[in-house]
Amino acid sequence: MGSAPHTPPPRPTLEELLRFKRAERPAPEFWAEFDRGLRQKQLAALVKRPQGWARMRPEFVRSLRWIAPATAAAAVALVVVQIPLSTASRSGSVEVASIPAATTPVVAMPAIETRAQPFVAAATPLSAMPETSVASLAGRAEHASAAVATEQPSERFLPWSTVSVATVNSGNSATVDTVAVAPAMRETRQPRSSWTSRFSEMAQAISAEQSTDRVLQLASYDLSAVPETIPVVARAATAPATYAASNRSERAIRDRDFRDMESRMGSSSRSSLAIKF
Amino acid sequence: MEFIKAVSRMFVASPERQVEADADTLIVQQVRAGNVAAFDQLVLKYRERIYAIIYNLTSNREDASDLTQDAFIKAFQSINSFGGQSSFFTWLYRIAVNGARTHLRKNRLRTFFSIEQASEEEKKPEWLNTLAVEAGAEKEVFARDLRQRLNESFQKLSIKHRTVITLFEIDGLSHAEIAEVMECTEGTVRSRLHYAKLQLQADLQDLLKR
Repeated sequence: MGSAPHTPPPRPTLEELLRFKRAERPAPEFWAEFDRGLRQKQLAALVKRPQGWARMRPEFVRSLRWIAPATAAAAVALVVVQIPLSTASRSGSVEVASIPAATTPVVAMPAIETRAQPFVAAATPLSAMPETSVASLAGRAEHASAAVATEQPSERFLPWSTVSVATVNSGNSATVDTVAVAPAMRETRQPRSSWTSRFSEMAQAISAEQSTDRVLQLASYDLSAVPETIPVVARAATAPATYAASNRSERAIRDRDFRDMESRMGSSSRSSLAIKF
Repeated sequence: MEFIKAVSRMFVASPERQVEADADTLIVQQVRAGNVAAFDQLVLKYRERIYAIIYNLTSNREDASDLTQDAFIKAFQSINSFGGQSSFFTWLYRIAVNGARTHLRKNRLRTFFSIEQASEEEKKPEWLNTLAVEAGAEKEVFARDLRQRLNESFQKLSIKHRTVITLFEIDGLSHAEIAEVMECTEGTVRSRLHYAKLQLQADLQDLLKR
């Protein structure tokens, strides 16, 4: 006698379970309540006038149809206009415009030793600089007086707002030509890294145009707390393109050096950087 | 573009749906012309389906009731902006589903089940007896527990997966219609449906046919 085949009790499939779930329905009286609530909300929506933003939104969305293209067109136009301007400004920043010599000497450079000496770069205040710290140039003993221009442009966004080039004479005075690049430098605020590279470009351009025996002094009035001038004096040994100075080895001043000088000058209100070449 | 959409809709929609859509368009035109009462026809026609969808998305009948009403109010208020690019029912579904999804996102942490009654014809499947006997519970009690269990499993799905499986399995929309309501591709719908079913199967493993 064989036993009857065992049939497993029926179990649902996923679809059957979902069908079971689909059968969940609210009771008929639910719909009466639902209709009453809906009617109230519908009446409230008819009576209620949209307030504030809800009222303005359709008009705003409509106006976007012309505001958005107009804004985009204005932005494109601005970019088209700005690109040539910024290019001109960048190339113009290395142009040195001569302005009348400043008459107010504010910094007296220390006496300079006659012996030839490698490069010196000092970030100490000028008053505290030792006499031996600045090398002589072309075998002459010099007293260089660098003048910091007193003109303060109305807008000053770069740290080096005034540039002076002092032609070094024998004796205690120097002919100071203040060359200002302020008009070319009146630009929007730039990151500090670009200040230093701009300064580097500027120094190179001045050096290329000016002869040697001059002191390039860059004055900054960027901050306004302490009326102190901290020059950095440097000199180039050979080619005009290499102005760099180091009391250990000859090398060109790179952006990093300028950044270093600049950071060492810290937050003095009226700092300056002088390069002798 | 509108022409292409209209033509593609003609191919996608079944003839019955097309007839329905045309009838809806006529009612919408009446409402736009100022016959506010004509909107009641649309409410009567779609309220149960919209409610069922939202109920299965939220697993809460009070929320479902409010959200269904809100969907109709929103449709009523925006009926002038209904451009006819899609059928009215797709547009209404989109409003309802988006409203429910927004509600679910806002109340992600709040889960409160309130279960509906099952209709009579679905109370007597044979497997329900088997499972009730296995569980040692009365059939009615077990049916209630099972609905609770199914709601919990649905709530474990992501909102997108839950929406797809609700529209497909509960409301019986086609892939193309779901894609139109959810504004995604049919492939995405199929993929979501597949993963939603896999997840449900894994979660309800102990109840299902082995």
